[in-house]
Amino acid sequence: MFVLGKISDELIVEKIKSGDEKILVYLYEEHHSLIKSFILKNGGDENIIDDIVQDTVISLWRNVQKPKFLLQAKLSTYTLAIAKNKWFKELKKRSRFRRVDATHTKSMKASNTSVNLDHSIIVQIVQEMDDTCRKLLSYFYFDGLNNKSIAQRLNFANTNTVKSKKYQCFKKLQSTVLEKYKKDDFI
Amino acid sequence: MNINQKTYELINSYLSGELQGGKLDAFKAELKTNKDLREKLKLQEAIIAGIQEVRLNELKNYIKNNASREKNKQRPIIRISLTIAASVGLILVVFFSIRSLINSDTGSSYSSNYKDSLKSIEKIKAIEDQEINQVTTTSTPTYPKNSRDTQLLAIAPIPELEITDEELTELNIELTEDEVIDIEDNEIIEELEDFDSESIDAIQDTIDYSLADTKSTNDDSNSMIRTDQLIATSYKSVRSFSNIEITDSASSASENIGQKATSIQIAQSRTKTTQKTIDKNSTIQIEYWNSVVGFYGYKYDGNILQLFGITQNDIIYLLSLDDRLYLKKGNQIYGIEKSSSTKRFSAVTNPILLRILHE
Repeated sequence: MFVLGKISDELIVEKIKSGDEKILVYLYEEHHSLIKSFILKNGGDENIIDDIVQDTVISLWRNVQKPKFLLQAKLSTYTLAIAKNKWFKELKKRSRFRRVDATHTKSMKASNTSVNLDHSIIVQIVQEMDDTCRKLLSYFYFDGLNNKSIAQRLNFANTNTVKSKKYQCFKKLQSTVLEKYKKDDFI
Repeated sequence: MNINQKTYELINSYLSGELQGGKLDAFKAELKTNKDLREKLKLQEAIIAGIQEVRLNELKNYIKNNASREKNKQRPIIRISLTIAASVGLILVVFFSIRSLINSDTGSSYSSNYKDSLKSIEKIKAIEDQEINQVTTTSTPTYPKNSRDTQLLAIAPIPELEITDEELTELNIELTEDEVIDIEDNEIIEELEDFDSESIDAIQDTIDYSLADTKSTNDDSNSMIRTDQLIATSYKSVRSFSNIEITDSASSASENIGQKATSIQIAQSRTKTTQKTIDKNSTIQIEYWNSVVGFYGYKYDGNILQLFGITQNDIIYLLSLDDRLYLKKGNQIYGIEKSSSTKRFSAVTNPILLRILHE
């Protein structure tokens, strides 16, 4: 996306709410150097920067799409706050993994084997779904859109249509997943 | 394991945190006792996690692909633009260099038209010089004709030679309204003691001739040549260092051709200190030229000092020390050498010399 000059915070929020995914690229490029500078000053390295910036921008995307979202600060300040949380969580995760690696490697392996869930199979099934169902479920479960917003974005007649279509899509997905797994795997 | 819509919505509410109060307690109690509900919750949770992961990867890939594509796209565009700009510039320089050489060798009709227009301008210039001389000094020194350095003349469109009153005024020193004095014929005669009416008529005739000449030249050719333009002429006395008092006088005249009555606008005649030190022999005619190629320098043949890149609005002083001429502009002092060709301004760097000249 080629943008001349800066886009106002209000317009960014408007674009996110309307589901314009191009704004993600703008946000990524606009905040990359700021977040990079923060991470490098706080014990981070170049390898993790892109992931953190991506996660930050996507979290911003999800938060803004929530019906109750209200921007009370500059968007860059808000974005940096998200990035900080992401980075501190990452640091915590790293320290936790070190401790677990050193002391509980065996028990971790044992606990993993008790759950017979191959998450990648579900991901693959979701990817193979028809486009409308995948979008509908993604907008609801990931983007956090309510039924009204989904109806507008996918050109459904009303919220009841969204509700019933959502259930149908999920039921279909569940059936496909169940075909791949045994019922006992989810207990 | 079939799930009805009610249970599906209930599990959704529980997982999103919307289920609260008594309904939440009832759902938790049911979970403890109902194995089937536990299975359904587990399955729904796993599927939602899968949906979220797919969407997350989708957005990440979108950002990654587009952001990296932008970075790769912009750099070549800038690089290509710079290369094209440099190439075009080089081609233009080569083109004009070769073209000026070809034209000077062949003496084509193009250059003859150009010479005609120069002659016309020179005629107007000669009349203006004559007028200036009449106004500024009673003894009229004879100055050689304008000599032009062909190296400074870039071949370009011919200037529009249909001269209006306003344009002719612009050829001379631009005067502010306060400085302009409109003088009718009678007043001119009163003002200029040695200037008789015959001379005025002669000038008027010559101007008319020149105008006709320039108009016919313009009619003959539609092509345009941009040349170095004489902006203004003035006289400056040279400040001698045995005598630091200065006289600075600048005058210009413009002929109002549209009317028969000659209207000479005289302006800017300033005397800063006493005039007792003025030596007419040390007065130098200065021509302010506008160089087409932005040349910053001068040409001095001993009588006329042609200045390029300096306008009549710039405050300059001429200084003389040990028979050498210097030009002072702001804090810079440049040595002026007699030469038949143009020279770039060369700043004086000798500290002792600078100290003397700045005094």
